[in-house]
Amino acid sequence: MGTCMLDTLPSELWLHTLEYLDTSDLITCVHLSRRWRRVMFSDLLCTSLFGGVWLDPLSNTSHKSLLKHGLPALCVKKLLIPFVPEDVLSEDEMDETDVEMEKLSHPQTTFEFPNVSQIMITGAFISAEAVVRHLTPSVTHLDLSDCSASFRSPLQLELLQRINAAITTLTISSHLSQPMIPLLSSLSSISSLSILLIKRITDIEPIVATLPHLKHLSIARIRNVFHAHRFHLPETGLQELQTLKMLGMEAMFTEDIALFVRKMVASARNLKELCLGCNGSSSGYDPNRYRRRVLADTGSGCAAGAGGGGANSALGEVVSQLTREGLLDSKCLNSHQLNQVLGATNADRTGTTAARGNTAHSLTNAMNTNYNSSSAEETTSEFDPFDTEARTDSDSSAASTASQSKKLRRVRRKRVETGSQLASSTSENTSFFSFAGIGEWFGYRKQHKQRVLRPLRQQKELPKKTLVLDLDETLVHSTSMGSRHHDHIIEVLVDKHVCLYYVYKRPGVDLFLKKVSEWYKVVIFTASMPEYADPVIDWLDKDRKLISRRYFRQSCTPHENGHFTKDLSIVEPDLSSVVLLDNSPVSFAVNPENAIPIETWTHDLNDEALFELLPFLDALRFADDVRSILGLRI
Amino acid sequence: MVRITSSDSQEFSVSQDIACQSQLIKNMIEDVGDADEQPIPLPNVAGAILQKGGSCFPSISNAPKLTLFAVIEYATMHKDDPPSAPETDAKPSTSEDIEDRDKQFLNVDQGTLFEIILAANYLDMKSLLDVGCKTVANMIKGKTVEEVRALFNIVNDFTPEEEEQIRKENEWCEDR
Repeated sequence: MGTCMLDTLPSELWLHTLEYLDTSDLITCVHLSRRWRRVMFSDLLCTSLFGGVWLDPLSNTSHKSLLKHGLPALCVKKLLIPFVPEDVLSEDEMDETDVEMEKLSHPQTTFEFPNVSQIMITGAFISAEAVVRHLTPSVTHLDLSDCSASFRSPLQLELLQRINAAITTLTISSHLSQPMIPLLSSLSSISSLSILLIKRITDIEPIVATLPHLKHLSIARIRNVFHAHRFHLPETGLQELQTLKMLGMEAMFTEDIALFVRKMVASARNLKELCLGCNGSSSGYDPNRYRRRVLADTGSGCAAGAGGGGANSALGEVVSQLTREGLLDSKCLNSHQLNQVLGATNADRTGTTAARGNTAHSLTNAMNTNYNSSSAEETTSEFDPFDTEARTDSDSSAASTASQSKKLRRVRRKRVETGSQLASSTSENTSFFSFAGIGEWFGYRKQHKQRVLRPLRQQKELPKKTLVLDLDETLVHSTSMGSRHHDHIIEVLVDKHVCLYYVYKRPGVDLFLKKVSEWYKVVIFTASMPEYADPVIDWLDKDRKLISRRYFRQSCTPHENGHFTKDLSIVEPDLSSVVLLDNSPVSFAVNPENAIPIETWTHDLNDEALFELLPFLDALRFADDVRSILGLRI
Repeated sequence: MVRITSSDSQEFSVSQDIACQSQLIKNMIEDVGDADEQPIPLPNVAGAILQKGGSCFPSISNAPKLTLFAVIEYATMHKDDPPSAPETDAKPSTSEDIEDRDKQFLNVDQGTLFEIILAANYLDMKSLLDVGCKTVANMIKGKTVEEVRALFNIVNDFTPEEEEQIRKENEWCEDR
């Protein structure tokens, strides 16, 4: 049995040989033996295989090899450095990687990609800085999403010179936006820009200001659209913008999103395509928040779906308003929906279906409200800067409801069409239009071939659902021990003795009640005695407008150990449209599928549980059956 | 003329322009100065040589230690080539464009071929190295895994689980 003659060759000569092979032959070579595999992965054969650089997903050393060896092959056109899962790297190894990054930044290390035209780096552990440092003039597409860890050190001026004027398409994430701003001014050739994971929408302002010739702008996964009124675009900004995509916007208040969209669209005079998709509440993308708080994982994906509904209702409103004002041509409207994205999160099938239904609902609902004069006035008047406009709008729409409902139908058809158009256009652009956080977005890519919009159902006037709130430890906390910081004192007569109770408001309770009372019939259901609870509720609801009904201990069902359960059918016989918010698990033993648990609150002034619930509740009101969503938690 | 000694102490005299196709020898000559005085030792090149003469090629397959000779033969063959071939450009040429005479030259058994490649690498003769590697690449091209294994005597040392995993990976890459 002879030995393998090839073994006499050192690995670098193997690599030299392999450079002459096609993809299919390379795949063959991977199968040959361990040594072949090792050579091909660890020594970084760079070929057209996989359209770029190939990192061994099995090996945790491949990324180091990349740093060590540089890239020998000259034939790389597209450098694709995929996501390296976090669990591949232990903490120690990360530190080592850092060391090697430092080595790389040493001028003697070569890291050249002479012919690369597209670079896409989504792994946070690859030294993106090192890659950028060696960019050559051939690079036109650069994708640096999810490189936060790599850009820990501030970028240097050298880097600025290296980034060349040829780049036309750039993708960055918000972590980079600040250090990138000085660089962008030298990149006037950029016509397409994608910004992912925006933390503050004000981050966009300076970027737009430096890139006046931007033609395509994608803003995706905005963590929180907040303080939209502070967002100002420069006069010249966005003049040449043709495509505007805002995907995955999340906000506590949908008004913020709407205002933001409005400002963007208003300054983009030459807009040809507007795409608003996957916009939702903040729950879906960060399961940790809700794992801690309210919903189990499966539920949270669903919450985002419904949340999308909530946000879109306001969006649909602002968009149609813009259309009427002539700022926006309805042709360029792409209201593409979010269920694909959600399908990819860990929401189970039921949840997704429910979310889809909700989305269709809410969009229709949004359109209806636009053309319904009374509700339009009521809702739009919340946009303070546009107050007057809104009123004129609703007047005119009242005058011509009939004609507009026709128009509405037309617009709606248009939306469905443009929605699917978007799907195809996205697929064309996938190579540059990349998403961070692979998980859910990868699923989006896979599924985007499917039809984007489900047919919209005719929407009737949506009846308000009932929201049942617990009082103590949910909205307020009372104690007989006083302190100077109490919000209120209640005198209660117990057995002919006057007891003083010091009542504390949970942070945000006033705003919470104001908001939810717009969306729901709000009912207080407490296990306390009316002697105590009544004055507290009076104090919370000073104008007697927020809370429609009150239920006290008499309505509770006694449970073992002196606890009380709350039978919701007393409040609302139709259990599909009643929600109980309570901190005590005992309380919702009867109707667990209707319950939203909330953390018990006693004194934490930084508590945000009520705030965090708002987007979810905003969305939940569009559900056909709240149990289909809340039940997922069980 | 330059005198070169192989690892088994055989000495060769080649003209300077031929010898200088090896970047290694060229650098040595430049460093040492006049090369006539002492032979240049090449301890890493195993093959010693008989007399020069293309006619003995058929016997090469029976004589594994002909590397240096073969290399000199190649260098002689290419001494009139333009000094730096345009292959130094960014794009590597494909494995098809091997000159016929090179093909002929490298039509040898695997052991010799790899020796030549090694020698070319050591001597820093880019054109010969490229041709050698292209020849190996051509041997791999279009073959199945088993065929390549058989060709190079590669032992399959994967466990079945690993093979399964690799198979899955390739599904993934074909998707892309």
